[in-house]
Amino acid sequence: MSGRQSSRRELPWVGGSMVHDSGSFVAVGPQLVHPCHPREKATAMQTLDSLDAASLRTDVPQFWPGDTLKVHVRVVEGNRQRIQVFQGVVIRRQGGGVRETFTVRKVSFGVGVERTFPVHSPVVSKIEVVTSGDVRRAKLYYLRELRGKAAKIKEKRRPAGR
Amino acid sequence: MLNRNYRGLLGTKLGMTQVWDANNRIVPVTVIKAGPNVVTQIRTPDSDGYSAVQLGYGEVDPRRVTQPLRGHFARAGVPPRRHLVELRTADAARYRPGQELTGAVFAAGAVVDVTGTSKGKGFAGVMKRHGFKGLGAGHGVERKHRSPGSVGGCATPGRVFKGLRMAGRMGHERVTVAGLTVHAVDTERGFLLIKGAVPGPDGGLVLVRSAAKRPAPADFEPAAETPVTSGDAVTSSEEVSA
Repeated sequence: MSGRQSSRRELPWVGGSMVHDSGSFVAVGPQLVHPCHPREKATAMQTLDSLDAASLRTDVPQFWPGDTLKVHVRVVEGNRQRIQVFQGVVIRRQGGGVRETFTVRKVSFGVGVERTFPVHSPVVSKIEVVTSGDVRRAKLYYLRELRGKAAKIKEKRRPAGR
Repeated sequence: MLNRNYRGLLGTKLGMTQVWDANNRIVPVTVIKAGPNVVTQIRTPDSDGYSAVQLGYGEVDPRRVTQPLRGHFARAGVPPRRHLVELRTADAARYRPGQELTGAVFAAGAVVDVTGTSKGKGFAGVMKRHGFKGLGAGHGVERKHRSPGSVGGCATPGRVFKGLRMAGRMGHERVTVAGLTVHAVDTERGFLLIKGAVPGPDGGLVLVRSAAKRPAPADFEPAAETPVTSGDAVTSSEEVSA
């Protein structure tokens, strides 16, 4: 997350050349993660990476806590299948590789609802990033205590080219 | 007398991960690099009093192999292997020395027992080793919260009974987990994906065997194209049988 915020200051690792072949994200534009960032370390070669590669999706957009997402979920009813959209704020991302998950929170009829999805789950048909939020925490649990306007997240002003 | 079939393979536990099944549910799997194993000897009721297949697995420096073992592997016509195990099965006669076995021995959905050496825990107390509850956290208990408590009576019997569970070395023993399901078989890489956990550390030796408490698998069918390691192996095994 810090890598993203400091990107405005034109740091040397921000650039197309830093795109790494983690397999978990298609590099759209510059990869905004510092080489020492934990996420970068998590991509070090592990024994079962070749096996996990088959389970990883390549069509997951870049998103962080604070972003508002539309998660298109496949819902199976009997032998029929339909798409349900769950829209809300990402309050957490945890784990790495095939077992990485994220949690989306929304307030539905005055009741807070949180759903946790594996990032690479085949149940999710599509993830749309609606807005990017400007937050200073990796885990936005404080949103649970806030209501209404106080629970609003400031929209991030996108750097040019994103 | 054993009158049922078993399939079995020696392998290396690589670790655990998760995969998605057909219903998009997460399946926790242990990945085992199974095989290639090689048949080194056939035990027959006539010569040995029971029927079994001896399997060899793992690389070993040929210079480190003792002469008696060298001779044993030479009889099967295969290079020496690190580990040997016997698999008791009624259809042992269908195997032949020098034959290579891969993960294809098991099909997806097969139920297996997995044997390994559990992780050593060192000298462990009774709470960890035997699941004792320990003593209370309060009510006047001082510095005895994880202790076993009383170990017996007083003047009668005047001794501690044999076999009383106490603290001691825990782990690093042979453990079999029964009734695991083979989720998938990756013949290309020689991986067995087994649902659930398996004893031992990553990199440990495990024996995967047909489940003892489930219906026995059918007779082993030697695949027509089952490769024999080399031309020498064929001739030597024929010499042995001749």
